[in-house]
Amino acid sequence: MRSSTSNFEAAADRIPSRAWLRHWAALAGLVVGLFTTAELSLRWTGHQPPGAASRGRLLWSYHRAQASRGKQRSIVLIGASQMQTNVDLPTFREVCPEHRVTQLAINSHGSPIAVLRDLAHDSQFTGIVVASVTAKRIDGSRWLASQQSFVDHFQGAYSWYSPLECSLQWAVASSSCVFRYNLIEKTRRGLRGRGNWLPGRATYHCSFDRQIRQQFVDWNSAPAPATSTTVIRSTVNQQPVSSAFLDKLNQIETFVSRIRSRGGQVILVRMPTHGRHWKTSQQQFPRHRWWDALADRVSSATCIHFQDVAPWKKYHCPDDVHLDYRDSPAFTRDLIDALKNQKAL
Amino acid sequence: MSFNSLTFVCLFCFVMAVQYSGLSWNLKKATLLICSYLFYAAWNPPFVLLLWLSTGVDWYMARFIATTTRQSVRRASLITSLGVNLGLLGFFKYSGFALQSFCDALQLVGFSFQPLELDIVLPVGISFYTFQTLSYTLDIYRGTAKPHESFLDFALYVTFFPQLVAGPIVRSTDFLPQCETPCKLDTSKIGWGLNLILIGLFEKTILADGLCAPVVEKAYGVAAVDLVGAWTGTLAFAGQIFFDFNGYSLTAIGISLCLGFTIPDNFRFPYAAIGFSDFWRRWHISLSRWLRDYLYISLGGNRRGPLRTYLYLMITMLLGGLWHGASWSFVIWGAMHGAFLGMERWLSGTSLHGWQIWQTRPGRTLLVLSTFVLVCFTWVFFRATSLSQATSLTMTMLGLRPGGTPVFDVWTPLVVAVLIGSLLLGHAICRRQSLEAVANRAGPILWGVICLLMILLLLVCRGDERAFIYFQF
Repeated sequence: MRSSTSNFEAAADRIPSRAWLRHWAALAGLVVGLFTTAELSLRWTGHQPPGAASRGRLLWSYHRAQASRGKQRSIVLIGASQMQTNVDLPTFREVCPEHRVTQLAINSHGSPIAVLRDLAHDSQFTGIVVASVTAKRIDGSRWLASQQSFVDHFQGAYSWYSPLECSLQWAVASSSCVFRYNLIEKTRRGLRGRGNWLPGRATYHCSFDRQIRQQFVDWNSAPAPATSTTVIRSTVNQQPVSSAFLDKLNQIETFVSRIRSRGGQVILVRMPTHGRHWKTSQQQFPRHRWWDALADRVSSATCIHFQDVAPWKKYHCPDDVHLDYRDSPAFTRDLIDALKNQKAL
Repeated sequence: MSFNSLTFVCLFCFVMAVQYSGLSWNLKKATLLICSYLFYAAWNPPFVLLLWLSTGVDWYMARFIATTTRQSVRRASLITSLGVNLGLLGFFKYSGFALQSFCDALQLVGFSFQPLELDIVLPVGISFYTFQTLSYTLDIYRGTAKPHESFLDFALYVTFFPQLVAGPIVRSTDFLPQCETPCKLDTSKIGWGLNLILIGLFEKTILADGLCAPVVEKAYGVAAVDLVGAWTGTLAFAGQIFFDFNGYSLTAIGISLCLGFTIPDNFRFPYAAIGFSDFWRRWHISLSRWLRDYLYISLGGNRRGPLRTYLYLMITMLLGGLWHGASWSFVIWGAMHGAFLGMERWLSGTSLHGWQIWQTRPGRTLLVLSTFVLVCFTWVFFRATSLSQATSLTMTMLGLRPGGTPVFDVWTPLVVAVLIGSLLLGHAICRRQSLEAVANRAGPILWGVICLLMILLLLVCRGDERAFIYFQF
């Protein structure tokens, strides 16, 4: 009996009369054929399965959940792309077998302070945080917001079945170039003159533990791309450190103190950068004022600037910012040495 | 567990296999019920207890109402059902909002009170299943339905996973009769159901998440956006919310069809609406019918004079706004819809209504566009994170607040204009039709090519995944 008030109108009453079995069989055949052609074409033009989504919230949440679990002491790496490309996790685990190392840095999401705050408020977390930070990112308006959506996903959407979803997505993404070709993003970048339809001079692969292996191919033979990080602004910042920046540092200090009160540690690292990028950075946020203020205010944390670590000077970042993956194992060993020298490990 | 997750694909394949196996009909329904609980528990397992409570209370109260002739017992049973369901909804959804509003009111009269922060997690889909189970008790109280004999069927009606967390809100009189006869393998139902799933996932993944969401997040993520940015962001949100919610509804209807069940439509080309009453006959149809049947008509409808009709319209829309979310922005969104509905009702009684121009194509186009623009102004309050942001954006869109930060390059407004323009044109062309009629007219080859393009785009365009917007309600 249908309700007199529901005015029930349903799709089932109007199903188009068609040979749907034939429709779907033909579609399946065409999709398989076109998919295979696309996969072969992409591989022929040099594409490789890109692996995990380096900015995927689900995989990030999976690793975030691991950071507070288990008996092993945890080392959590936070930051942005530099942390994801420069640190080689197998090397880290080999040198520090007594620790569980988790990569929580997020590519293209500058400031990691939201993640630092999340770890500070997690009473289960008693480990070591190695954070890649810059004064520019902390001074920016999204200093506390840029990675918050990942924290929100972990707190709100991560569930008991998420590890299964993670594994399924990984199985799909690591087997095919087509699934993560991301045509919309490529088109969007293409409209802005930054399209990369073919493999560029840098190739990426993100592993399940979220390490990005970035390989630079013949980087010096062509002019540097006009990425936002290499644009030099003409003005030199002569302003003193703002009170708003100092307030932010005070907040960071409270997060660090919270982690330390549970026996944890926080190490703030300025990763190596070179050339035009470093020049721009120095013009806008001169180290002697901004980084030194950070080291002074966030006194509970150990601060390491790449200029102060002699072994790091030998590394070259082809794009001024990131290391080639072949340099990352050696860099990781030097990073661990620097941490040990500071008695942070 | 979201429809666009791989885990859901596995669950769906399992349920399909069971549904068309040689098992008994009761065993199939039991499996469907268990899978529905599993689907719901994917978010937060303890909240399954709420579903059980709601199911149990409504089942027994409905039986009390049906079996007794004493009016006091009938009324007490109805009040118990309303109290438990609305009490749970009120506690989980509105207690924080009510407390904060109370504190703000105290502050207005000079008292300062800082309450404890209530950290209450909102159970996903509670607004939907509360309304669904309430309709069962209310129908039995009114005598328009009889209590169902099978508890298993009733539990499946409350929990049926395709529409559990974001609708469409199904009436028991539409669903329960379908549980009585075993479903048979029907290739046309499964074939068309798969089409609906494909269209739904395409709308959600490509159009809502891929094209609209990044634009909306950019426009609504800055403090003061410029005129172009405000309009671009709001138009993109108009697209995002339609593609997101219509995508969910189509997928839910498609999954149900594949499983042999039929649930009602939720959208009918809403952006081709002429006026707000027409809009609500096309947008979130299952909710607007619920509000009409159980709230507006219960209050008195249009039977008690024009003034009371306006009042009841406003009360219905205010509560409809509050149903969406516990914040003043949603109340204002509802109030705007109530005001526009009232205004439309008043205009329909004046000589303006009889003008011939409204019967011509330009006149109708003007009405469709005016309705759409006014709906867009209401979307600002739906999407904004605060009242001040909503007010600021509205002022900017009206050109009353010059300046603001430009957030988009030249391409983004152009892409959004083309997308929303196509959406409006499509809705206008199809406004008197159903999706099925459109598919019939397209012919097998053209429809096949459209499906193929959607599948290919789904394969190569996966971007950041976002939850369905209506999950938060």
